[in-house]
Amino acid sequence: MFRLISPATFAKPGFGAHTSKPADDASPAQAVSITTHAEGNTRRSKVLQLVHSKQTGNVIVSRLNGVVEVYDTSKLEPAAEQAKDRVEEDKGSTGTLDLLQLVYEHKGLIPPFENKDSETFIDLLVDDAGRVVVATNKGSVFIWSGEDKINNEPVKFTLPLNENEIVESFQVHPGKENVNCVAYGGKETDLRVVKLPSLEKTKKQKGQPAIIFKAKNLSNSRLELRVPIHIKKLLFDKTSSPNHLKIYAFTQWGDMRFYDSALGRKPRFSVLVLPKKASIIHAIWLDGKLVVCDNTGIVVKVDPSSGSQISKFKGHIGTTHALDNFQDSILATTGSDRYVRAYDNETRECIVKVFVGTQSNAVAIMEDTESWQDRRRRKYTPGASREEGMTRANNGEQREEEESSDEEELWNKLESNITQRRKRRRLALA
Amino acid sequence: MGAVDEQTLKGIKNKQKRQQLYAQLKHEHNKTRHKDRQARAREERENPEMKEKRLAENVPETIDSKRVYDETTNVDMEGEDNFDSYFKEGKEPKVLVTTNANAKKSAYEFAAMMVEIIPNTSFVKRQRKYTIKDMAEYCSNRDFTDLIVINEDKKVVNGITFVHLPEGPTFYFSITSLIERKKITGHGQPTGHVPELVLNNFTTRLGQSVARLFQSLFPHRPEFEGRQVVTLHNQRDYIFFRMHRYVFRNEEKVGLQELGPQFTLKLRRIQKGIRQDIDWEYKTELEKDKRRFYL
Repeated sequence: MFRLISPATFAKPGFGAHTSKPADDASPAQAVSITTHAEGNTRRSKVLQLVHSKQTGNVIVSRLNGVVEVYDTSKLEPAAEQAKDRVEEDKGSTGTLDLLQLVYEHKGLIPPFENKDSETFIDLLVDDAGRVVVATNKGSVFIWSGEDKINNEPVKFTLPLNENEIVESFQVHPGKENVNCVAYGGKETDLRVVKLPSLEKTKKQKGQPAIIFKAKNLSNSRLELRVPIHIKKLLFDKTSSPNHLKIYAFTQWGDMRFYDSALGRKPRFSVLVLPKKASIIHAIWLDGKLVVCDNTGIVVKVDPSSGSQISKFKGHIGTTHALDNFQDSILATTGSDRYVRAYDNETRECIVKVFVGTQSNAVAIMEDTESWQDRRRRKYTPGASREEGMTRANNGEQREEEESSDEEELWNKLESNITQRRKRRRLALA
Repeated sequence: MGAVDEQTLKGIKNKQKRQQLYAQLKHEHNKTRHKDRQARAREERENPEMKEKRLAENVPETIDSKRVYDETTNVDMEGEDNFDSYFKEGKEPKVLVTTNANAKKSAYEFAAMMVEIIPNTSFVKRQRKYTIKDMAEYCSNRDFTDLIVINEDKKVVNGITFVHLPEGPTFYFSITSLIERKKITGHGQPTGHVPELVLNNFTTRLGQSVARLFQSLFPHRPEFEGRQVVTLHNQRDYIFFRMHRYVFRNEEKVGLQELGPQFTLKLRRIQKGIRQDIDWEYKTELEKDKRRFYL
């Protein structure tokens, strides 16, 4: 099921919605509308991955019972006096609205989940060519040429795996012409990059994926012990190409490893990015930097060239399951603490914190229609019609303005405080 | 020397003299305080509405009353969780108690108490070669619903792990202030009846999951003829365990006899599955705000 969270009114500009603050006179009604969609599912059919397609705006989800679904978001326009800020999904079931319409569905792609040895989806993504790609832990890859084709039978590939090898991470190469190049890895399954045969060819004759890069493990440790392999997440570098691969791998033990195919098969470097050696759950790109989260409540921004920690996004408790990057300016997080949070990338300030009732697996920011300028105008001229579809480039500027005025306010306040204190001291002295 | 006040006290340079005078000052202050209280009590005995008024006006501010707002208090449980087999299907609990490997006497004594308190429990001596994960697997194959592992360090019981079977979650609590039954004066002996369970103050969403764990350890139907009560009282995130037997002496009076033991639990960690990903973990920085509580 999904939750749509829209912080409809903001208490203060520059401060998003916080459900953890009580509504009182000082900060009036922090109305946060949470609506539930796609109800009627149980834990056996919970959503595993959720992708907000950039091309069509649809939401694609994969479920534990082997179903892939596409939901139409066109009805979510802020007509209903609510700006939809984000879609968030989790398990459980309640709710009535049907703003998110199920348009395409593919059932029975894999058998329903039974025990921990069953086949499950590990990743769902929409590549740069608009194809929908789903991968499973047993090394099956299903590809549809478009979202509207999901009702049809997908093209299936099997990744080359040895016996007992399990895929835990899967990634498609960025770039429209390179989408046939995929990387994968897992527990005791070192990073491999394969070239899949193109979809048109496959329909005529069955082609097999060809390995183009196979990583080597790190050298033994100082005590001559083998370094364990357990890849949890893979990311391609922006400058990577199929002839010159540049890949970041994140491990169960909190390491970040960087592979460069031009310089060798071993990782160029392996750095411990999380001090506690906690298992990395998810990693994404955010404004040229990497954001990594683990299973103990740490979300950090990491420099990709050195692996050193730049900053922390604070406030999480327990495992963070999902991260989402919105236009390189906002980071959304969610996890087992039943909160959805959004952070400003530059200031690292938590701008939205909403309690959603159940633990969530995935999060995606849909849009921020209520732009900063918009909010301001409404404040000064009540009743003014809201301009829809604010250009997004606009938002960044507006935000900066808002911040500077906030800063001014802060300074004024501080100064007045200081002078007051000084006065008081002078009086005391006298 | 006459009346001393704090100003003159500050001027005295001899420390012993100063201390002596300070003690004198304090004694006088206490005396007047007691006199005032006596006078007030006398007055209030004559007209009780004065007492009511005073009590209504002077409500003391406690850390509990100044608790930081938490929007998860008293929310309805949403969705399904792993305790549904107990709450919805009504599965009878069956519990296995064990200790850490190489446990000492105190751990076995505590285990014996747990077997006495929780109905339908069996104790198995821990073998070093089995991990909690192994034990959880054996237990779920034998239809156990919970596994309890008591942890002892340097002959002091300091922790307890509850693993709900077959799919978790795992709760770890630390144990402090353990007082055995024989140290409690006037204690009674528990009987084999299923006790009633009182869960106090588990209000937040996290508190609800903890309460559900404790609930799922005891069978659904308490045996009221035993008149035994197990209380788990949460205050400021510390969970106090007490066990009593009650008796209705007449229509107004109820008598309580403590059965013991007493101990205090503090939630340290909740993990998904059998000790897998962390759902919630205590960190010292969570206590940065003194008035924020999580259970």
